Amino acid sequence: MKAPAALRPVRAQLLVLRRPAVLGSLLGLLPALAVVATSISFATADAFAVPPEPGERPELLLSALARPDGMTAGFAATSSLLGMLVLVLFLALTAGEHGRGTLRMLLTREPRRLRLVGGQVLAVLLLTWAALILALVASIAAAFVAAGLRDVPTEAWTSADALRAAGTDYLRAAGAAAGYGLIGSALGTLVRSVPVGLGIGVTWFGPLEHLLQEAWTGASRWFPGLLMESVSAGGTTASGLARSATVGAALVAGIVLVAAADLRRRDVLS
Amino acid sequence: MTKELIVETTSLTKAYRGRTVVDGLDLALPAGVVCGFVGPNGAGKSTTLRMLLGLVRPTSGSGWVLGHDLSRPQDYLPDVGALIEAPAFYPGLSGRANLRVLATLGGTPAARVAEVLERVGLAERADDAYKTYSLGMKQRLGIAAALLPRPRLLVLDEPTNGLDPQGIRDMRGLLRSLADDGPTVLVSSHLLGEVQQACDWLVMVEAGRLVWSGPTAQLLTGSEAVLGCEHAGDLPRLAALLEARALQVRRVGNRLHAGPLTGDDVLPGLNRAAAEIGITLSELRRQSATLEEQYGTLLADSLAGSLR
Ligand SMILES: Nc1ncnc2c1ncn2[C@@H]1O[C@H](COP(=O)(O)OP(=O)(O)O)[C@@H](O)[C@H]1O
Ligand SMILES: [Mg+2]
Repeated sequence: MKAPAALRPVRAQLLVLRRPAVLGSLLGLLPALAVVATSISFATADAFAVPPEPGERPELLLSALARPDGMTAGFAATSSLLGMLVLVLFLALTAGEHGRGTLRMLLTREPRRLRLVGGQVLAVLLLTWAALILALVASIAAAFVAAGLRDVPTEAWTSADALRAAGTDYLRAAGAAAGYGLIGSALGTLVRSVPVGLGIGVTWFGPLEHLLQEAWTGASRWFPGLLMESVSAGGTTASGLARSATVGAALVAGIVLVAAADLRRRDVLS
Repeated sequence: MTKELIVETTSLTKAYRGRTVVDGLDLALPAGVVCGFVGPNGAGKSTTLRMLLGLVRPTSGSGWVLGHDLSRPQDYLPDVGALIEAPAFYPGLSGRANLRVLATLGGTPAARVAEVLERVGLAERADDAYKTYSLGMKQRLGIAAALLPRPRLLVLDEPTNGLDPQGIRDMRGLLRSLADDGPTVLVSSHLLGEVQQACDWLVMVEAGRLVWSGPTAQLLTGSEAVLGCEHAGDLPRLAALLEARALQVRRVGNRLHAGPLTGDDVLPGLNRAAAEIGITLSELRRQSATLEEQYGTLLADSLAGSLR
């Protein structure tokens, strides 16, 4: 049976990614990060509440960890960390195709550029979502261990509510990863150079957005990175979950459209 | 007689930031030929080939490959195999895995991968990582990739570039054998000696402009006559006779070189005309100018043309 032509780029990209080094780093790194973040969450959770600043995530409390959604609180905290990693991964993929010159080889077999690059991005996104499932499972296991160490009761974690909370946390993380991934791919497509793209992406989504956040209160409501952080944290006081998801998705769609138009038009010269 | 054209362009032009690098190129490549696409470095060969493959958008002009418009490469690239400039593959993947990626992408049956690896002589090293390959092996993998779709048109951009003499010999042999398989081949080179032997069709470009195109044999018949006569004193009269027939004449020792000859029937006519004015020729033969000499004149002509 032959796969539909539109899926060929996805399958071809999965062949590229099927290397131990790539699979290992992606499927190993995300779960490892989730375990670390979970451990830190439990280690630093406070016994008493402090009111949060606008735009900041609410403080994590030991009593909150005992609730049904406490089981995956560590995983939820990971996803903002994951953002940068996912951005770098997708950026390296798309910009690397230009730098290496492999894009021109691939384009002779699939000249529909949007279909080719779209398929490649989808393949990496599927792999990232799979890695996030592993991360969720690893983080839950770590949570049970950590709960034992800090005497957090876990009765609520085995309820249907806990399962639902885990599902919600996963979807938020998957959504934020898609956002960061698409931004990374769009940036890589626009700049066509891994070092330049990394410079721009890491500077903006790392320190710059947070520095500007200090100076301008609107930053938390309008900057894509801060909005995606808000999504993965389930909303902030400055921008709730629904608003963050909507505005964030609109911003991502905007940059993806710009990158797609550029990809269709621009000469492939590498 | 209208022959099917595999590649056709009219006034194909590409400018980068206002600088024209391919300048109103008219190409017409008949089916079944092995065509050498020749010009010095920077002549615009790679840019032209990139336009034919949908990688670079023409600034103006139009073109057709296998009968399809250049603006829709998805219509003809399934039947085109190409290697543009240096081969580029994923360094961490083996040669075989790299070809599998391309075969999957193009919907080529997986069994074809082993066939083309065998064809270019890479079967034994096919499972080693691409980054461990020598330059010649990388080049051969690039050719294998171009062969994957069983192309009707094979486009190769300077496939011997950067190879050592042995690598160049191997590559030439491979190219000759590829042509036997039947596809129309378009191979670029800045080295004329290479295409003179291997190609039956030539397209010559310089500074983005077409200088000459046509069957290699036709270019080669643009050769000269070498004449010697019994009495050296007759040489001036013989020269005048040749000049009257619109030939360029130069004296080399006791012989005259006259050209260019246009057809095969010129020599007997010259012999008769000389006899009629009482000159007995001691020597009369045709000498093919090497392509390199021809090329030099063509380039000089076009240069002079652009200065005028
Ligand atoms: N991306 C580019 N931007 C500007 N100039 C270019 C670009 N690519 C090629 N050129 C110029 O176009 C000319 C033709 O280049 P090219 O097609 O590579 O020639 P060839 O393959 O015959 O050596 C050269 O002068 C080169 O410098
Ligand atoms: Mg070139």
